[in-house]
This record gives sequence, structure tokens and C-alpha cells, in this order.
Amino acid sequence: MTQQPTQPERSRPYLGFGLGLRPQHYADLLERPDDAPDPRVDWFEIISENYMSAGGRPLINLDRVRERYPMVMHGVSLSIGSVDPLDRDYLDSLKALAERVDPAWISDHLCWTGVDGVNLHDLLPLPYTEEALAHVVDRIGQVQDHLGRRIALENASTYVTFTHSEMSEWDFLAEMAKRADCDLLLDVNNIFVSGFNHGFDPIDFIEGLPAERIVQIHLAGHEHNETHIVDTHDAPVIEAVWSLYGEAISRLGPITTMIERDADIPPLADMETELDRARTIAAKALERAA
Amino acid sequence: MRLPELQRAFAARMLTGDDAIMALVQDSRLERRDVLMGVYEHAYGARLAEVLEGDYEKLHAAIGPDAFLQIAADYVAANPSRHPNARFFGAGVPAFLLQTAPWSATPWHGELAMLEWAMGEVFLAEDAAHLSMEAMAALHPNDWPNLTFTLADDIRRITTRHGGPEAWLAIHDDTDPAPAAAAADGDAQAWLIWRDDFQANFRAMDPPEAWALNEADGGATFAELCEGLMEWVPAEEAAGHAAGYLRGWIEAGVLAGYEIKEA
Repeated sequence: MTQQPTQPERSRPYLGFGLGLRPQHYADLLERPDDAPDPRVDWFEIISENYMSAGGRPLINLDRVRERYPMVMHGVSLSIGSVDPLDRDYLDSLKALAERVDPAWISDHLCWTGVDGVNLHDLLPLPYTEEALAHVVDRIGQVQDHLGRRIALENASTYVTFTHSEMSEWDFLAEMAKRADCDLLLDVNNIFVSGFNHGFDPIDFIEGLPAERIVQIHLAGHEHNETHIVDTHDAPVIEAVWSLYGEAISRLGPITTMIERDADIPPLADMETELDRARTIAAKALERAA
Repeated sequence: MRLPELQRAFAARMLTGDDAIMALVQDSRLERRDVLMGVYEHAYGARLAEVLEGDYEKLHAAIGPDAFLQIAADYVAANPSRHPNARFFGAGVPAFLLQTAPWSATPWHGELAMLEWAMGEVFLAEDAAHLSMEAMAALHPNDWPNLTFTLADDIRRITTRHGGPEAWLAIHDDTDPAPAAAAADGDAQAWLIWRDDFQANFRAMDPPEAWALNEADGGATFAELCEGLMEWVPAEEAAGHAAGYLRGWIEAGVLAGYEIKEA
């Protein structure tokens, strides 16, 4: 279904075009008539925390989908930037889930989610300072040692700029990946959102990252409030983000890509159609770059 | 400002509206910093309210979105989340409703939440082995009096006095929950919540069954269960009653296993 990449320079396998696994699509995935064509989805990403239960139907469904599709794990609670100690129980749960799923890779976000034991359940921004960089690099090392594997970190959408930031977000990410020897998950929508909110050129962001460390791309929709954009994952990918995705692929080469939809989730068929768009844009971008 | 102080100031803004963080963030070219920080402040409450709505669908249906959002806001303000997985955040909602005005005046709301939380726990409980009728059939008759039982981890028991589960059933049937709860207000009622085909179910237990299951959980032998049931049934029927309960529990996956207590 998916054309194999011609530039397999990354350490991670190329998975093609995937979706976030959502319960709304279980029936379409697992209870298809025998004569129905396979869904046009090459792989699935799971939200790790949604499957950190002891048992029950979610894990049964997870196993059934995993039997049929490659999978990656994407978390929201690692809190790699928090000044609180790393949560060892969480890391143990993450490791246990990884042993069950055998994902192609594990990712989370460059952010912090709480402090002093209080969890704010949001992807909160870090100042781009040498202090924060050293802190994050040290903790990525601890996480990678605990999990026994490299992780990928995603650029989050952010809404505020700290007055004492010392470098750009992409310089921070590039240096972090180099020092910590971790991978990157590039959220193209988040680049667009943060670029608008903070007034930077998304192309500078993409060109400032080490291409060989980018293992995956996220695409999503957002809410434009005229003066700022909020990352909502509740709408189709907009034209400007599709365009930026093409720019990213033409510069970075083929990268495993997925669409994230977390609210107002449409039928699987609609998501397949949106994913076809990603295939088309990526193919054209690679043609242009050839 | 160093990273620890920055994160504490940021969190204080989200939790209490404290202003200290505002000195560290910039206006953007198009928007004031307080509006931009407001994105985080709004998202915090909205996200947790959404989590609670998923946990307490029937409560949400019973009281409507506005009242539910108010409960969520009050609960969020009183109970900062302390677990990385938001799934655990709503555990305290039943007690919060039972103890906090005005909801404490209508305790069926708290009981409804208690039932919904228990059903959620059962839904996600560990997939453990259950005692089977085949295993029981293999027992020697002489062993029966000394049998003790272990309850499965994927069941819950609750006791209500104000009709919370009856309200759940009314909402499920698209009828008004308040009269259903009012009709059941009064005596204690025990409920068993168990999992069947990965769905959480619940049913009322009559007093002798609730007593027997409680005693079984406490280590009582089958003979002791039979003896205790004579409180409710004639002596010659007690063993049959106990066996009937046992069969029902095994078929529903309520029991994990048995042991034969040394005489």
C-alpha cells in the first residue's frame, strides 16, 4: 500500500501513514466483514496512558489491533521537563506496556505537566535556557536507561514566550537530541501553531532540526482565534499545515506520518480519506525534492 | 528565575490565579500575555471536567451540563490531581458530593457517582482467573464444609441508602431519576458490581446474599455460611441456599478460587 522510502537513513523503521488509535474506530477495525477491503491505514499510534490499566476490554482491543498493525506508543505524562523527580511507577507502567505492545518507538513531549506533586495534565512550556536544557537532557538519559531504549520527544504547541529564553525552540530541540541521544517527533501542526503564536518562520524551525533524528510526523487540526492559535486536535488539518507538511517532507525525506484526532472524531473512512491526502502530498514533495 | 521557581509560579497561576508568573512571560505581537496564559488556565479546568464527564456519564445526564461543570470546577479547585494518569482524578467525586452542599442534601447523586466509579474500576480491573463450576465439581463431598473462598479482583460491592443505583437504572431507561431515587430512599441496599464479557454490570443483593458474600470474603467456610443463613431460612434449606448463591457467584465470575481449610 505504501511506497517504501528511498532514503532509509534513520535508525527507525519507516512505517508509512498511520492514525491515532481511538475507541470510536475499534468496530471498523476489528469487526469488518470478511469481504471488506483493509482500511487504508499502515500503522497506529496509541496514547500510552489509555492502556495503563490492569486489564479489561481496552487491553483486549489493543492486543487485537496490534496483531494486525505496527504500533508506536505516545505518552502525555512523562513530564520530562518537570523539576519533580521522575515518576518511577509511571516509568514502570510505560515499560510494562512497551513489553506488551513491542512498539516501533516510544514518544512523549518536550514539556512539563506538573510540579510539587500536583499534576496539571497539560503540556506546559519550558524556557529555552541552558538550565532547562541540561535538566531535560539528564532526565532523558534516566528515562532511556530505565526503558532500555531511545525515546522520541515532540515539539508541543505553546502559547507564551518566557522573557529569559536564551535560544530558539528548534535550537533547544536540536541540542537536546544531540546531547541526550534521543529521537524527535515533529508535529507540523504544532510548528504552525507556535510559529503563529510566537512570530517565527516554520521553515526556520524545520531546517534547524537534525533530520536524521526525526522518526515521526504528527498532523492535526487547530482552533484559530485571530490573535493566537490553540492546538485542539478536533478538526481536519488545514491547508496551510498541509503545505508546511509538504515543505517538511521535501526537506527531510520520507518520514513516518500520522494524523492525530482527539475530539469530534469522524468515522474511520473519513480519517482514511484525510490520510490519503498526506500520502499524496508526501509523494509530490518527494518528487519535487528528487 | 530558576526553573523550579518558574514552574511553581506557572502552576500557581493555573491553580489560584497568582500573578507572579506574568513578569516572566511576554505579550505576543498580537495578544496580551494574560490572554495567552489564559489558554493554559482554561485548558486545565476544561480537560479535567472532560475526564470527569467520561467517568460520570449518568451523573452528567441526571443533572445536566451546567450543574455538572459547576461540580467539576468545585471538585478541581478542592482536589488538585496528584496522579500522572488523569483516569484516577475522579476517585474522590462520590465522597465530595456526599459531603459538599448542595449535593449533600440529595445523597443519591453521590451514590450514583459511587456506582459509576465502581463500574469504571471493574471495567478496567485485571483479567484474573475465576473459579469454575468444573473445579467445584471435582471436589470430594467431604471437603465442602471446609471450603473457603477468595473473591475476584474484578468485582466491587457497595451499599446505598438513597437510591443512587435506582437512579442509574432510571437514567438508563430515559426516565426521571429523582423519583426513582426517592422511592428507594431509606433502608440499606447492597449491590454487586461484576464484569461479564468485559462489560460492568450491577445487581441488588438481598440481605442474606450480601451477608454471605461478606462472610465469604472474610474467610468463612461453606459450613459457616450455611449456619449463618439459618437466620433467614429454615435449617433444612440453608445448604441449598448457600449452594445457590455459590453457583450464581461462580457463574458471574465473582470468585477467584477456593481453599480447603484444615479442620
